[in-house]
Amino acid sequence: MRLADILWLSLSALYQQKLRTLLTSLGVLSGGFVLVFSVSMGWGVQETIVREYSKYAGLRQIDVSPSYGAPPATEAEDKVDVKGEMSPEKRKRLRHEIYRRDHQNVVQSAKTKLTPEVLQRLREIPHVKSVTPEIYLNGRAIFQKKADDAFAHSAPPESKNLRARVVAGSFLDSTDGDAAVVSEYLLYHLGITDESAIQAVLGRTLRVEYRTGVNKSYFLRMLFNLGEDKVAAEDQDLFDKVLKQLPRALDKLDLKPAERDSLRKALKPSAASPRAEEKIFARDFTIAGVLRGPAKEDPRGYREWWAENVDVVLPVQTATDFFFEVSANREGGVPRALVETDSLDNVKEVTLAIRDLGLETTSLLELIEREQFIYLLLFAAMSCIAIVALMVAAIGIVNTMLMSVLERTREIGVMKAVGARHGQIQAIFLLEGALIGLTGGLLGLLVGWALSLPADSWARSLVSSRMKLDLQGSLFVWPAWLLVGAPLFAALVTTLAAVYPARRAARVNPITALRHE
Amino acid sequence: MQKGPNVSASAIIRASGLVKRYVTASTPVEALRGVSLEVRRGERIALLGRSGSGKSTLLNIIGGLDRATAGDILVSGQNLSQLSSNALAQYRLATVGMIFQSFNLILSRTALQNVELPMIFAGGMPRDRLAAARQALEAVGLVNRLDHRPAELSGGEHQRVAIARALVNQPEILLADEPTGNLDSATAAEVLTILMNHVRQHGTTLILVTHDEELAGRCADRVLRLKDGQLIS
Repeated sequence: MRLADILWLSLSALYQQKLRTLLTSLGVLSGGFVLVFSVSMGWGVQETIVREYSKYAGLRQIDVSPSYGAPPATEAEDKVDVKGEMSPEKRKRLRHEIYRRDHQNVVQSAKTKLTPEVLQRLREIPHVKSVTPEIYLNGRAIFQKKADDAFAHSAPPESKNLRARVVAGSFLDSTDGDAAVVSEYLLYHLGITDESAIQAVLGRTLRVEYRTGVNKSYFLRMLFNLGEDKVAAEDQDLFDKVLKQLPRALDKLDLKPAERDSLRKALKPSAASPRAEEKIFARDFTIAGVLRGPAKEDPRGYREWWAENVDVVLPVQTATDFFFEVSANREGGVPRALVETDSLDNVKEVTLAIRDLGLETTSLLELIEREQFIYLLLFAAMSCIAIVALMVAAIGIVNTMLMSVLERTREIGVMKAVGARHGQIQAIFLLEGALIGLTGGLLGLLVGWALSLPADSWARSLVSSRMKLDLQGSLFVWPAWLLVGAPLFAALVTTLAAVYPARRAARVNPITALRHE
Repeated sequence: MQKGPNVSASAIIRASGLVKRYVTASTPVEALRGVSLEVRRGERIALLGRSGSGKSTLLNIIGGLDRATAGDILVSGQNLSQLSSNALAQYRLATVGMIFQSFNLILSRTALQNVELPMIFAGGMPRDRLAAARQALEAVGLVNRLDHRPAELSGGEHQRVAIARALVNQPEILLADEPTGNLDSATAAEVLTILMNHVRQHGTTLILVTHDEELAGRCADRVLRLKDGQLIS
């Protein structure tokens, strides 16, 4: 029996019962429409999220920092000496608290630090395009004999938001070299107040200086300049001078010898912690540009918290080399680094490789995936409801088809008497089911598509008004697999629904059937 | 039981000891109790008996619409009791043509489509099918009624369509169960004429079930009488 013939027999049977066929199809249409709607929107929202985030180049970037693991606990903790008469519980409590406070935020407890060696290993991870360490220094800026406290930070030449704030000269154009960009604010405090004087500053030398260890002269300065921030370069050297002479000066003070000894000991840098020794590191830079402060309308860059208060912007490589001049820094590493991958697909792989080194990562991609997951759950739930609707339609089909079989008992009997096979009768009814599903599914697709147009504009206007975000592109997508798959899925469901009625039809006894009616 | 020529080479139907038992709610009913017969190719047999004698049951078994509970039946060399349901369907399609008292046309299909039906199940091409159906309807004088639905046809025309349908596949055996039962005498005569003409022309074996003695005598070469499920002389 030819397929075209079964098709024709099924179609004419459906046509015989136009109203019933239509009503059954409507049931399938409803389920199909909700399914198509939620799948289309679910997929579309996922793509919209990625598209919106892709506007930030940051999608391929991974934030890397040392992971601060909790120090391997109680062993060292037990060694803490707690004085006094107390219960064992209190002693344990105090011991824990003393240990905890002493070890808060100590970089030494990091598993892996971002040292020059580790930075190099990061560069060697496959698919890594670049590794940009984040360098910040709290130091002093010295310009033409005037000095002031300054906060220096590294920045790559692509820093869009900083570039927008340049008011004189130009921004950095490379990752090395000795160019630096200074803030208007810093220049003002360095005595460059006139507009005309700003231009003259370009090309001149700026010395950036920072001290490691405990900045004793700073504290001394604080003592003498309570409330006062600014210190002229000469005054700073003055305090250094004072500090140098302080141990000897103790002799001139009215102190007992024991007191004198203990004070002198306290002033000496202890051999146990050579880091307490103060050292001064300085480099000269050429002022390439001047930066204004951030305005309210300026976009806040992701990961650019420091941009608000930066005084000196240095090239990345130069700043890194400057930072690593200090041996302590070479051991302690930089606080953060930005790793950029060559493509979006490799972010996951690279993230895992970085984590394997014992470092912590955050990437925009993880945030995106979290957001996408939430919406995925939502639309999965909607799709489940839609499938339930289709099931209900399917149950309806079983019912109406059984009725149809009953009504057509005589007809089936005739067909069998004439020589129709078991399988041929089944095929006719199965195909009827499939056709109902196909029609309902196609119509559901059409209705879904038609309704998505107003739904899309409504949703986008809602997002625009509430979130001040203008979405590009539709929230609904209509890929080929959906256009083909949805009606086919509906047809599958309805065909399955027709299985039992079809078997009943095939089992009709022709003799009793012919006596029917 | 009438004794015809013994085990002739041209026996197209050979039944032996056919039993048909129905199991109903109360007691089992035996519609056939050991029927044996032989029909030669081209013979015209009338099965005579009152209602409940088992004649329709026997016809249904010969036609492959029903299976005997016991006994063997060989038609055209095939043992019907051993055929699968699909093979039996094929047998009905190719070997046998049946006509019923209640015509049994499909009401939603035209005369042409009704006659076409067996050929659809046999898998023929549309063009060939329609040509054969036309021809069959022409042979029964309904060339002007091809696109009419049964509702638009008279009783006699119904039966003529049914005859066309039964004969369109050129069956070896024609089984007619009270073909004129629902027709008035004039129409009945017409229908019978068409039937007998075809049978004579094509040498088709005919088994006619009826309770009409006169009809039996007129149409058949041999009359077999059934009573309570058994053949009587």
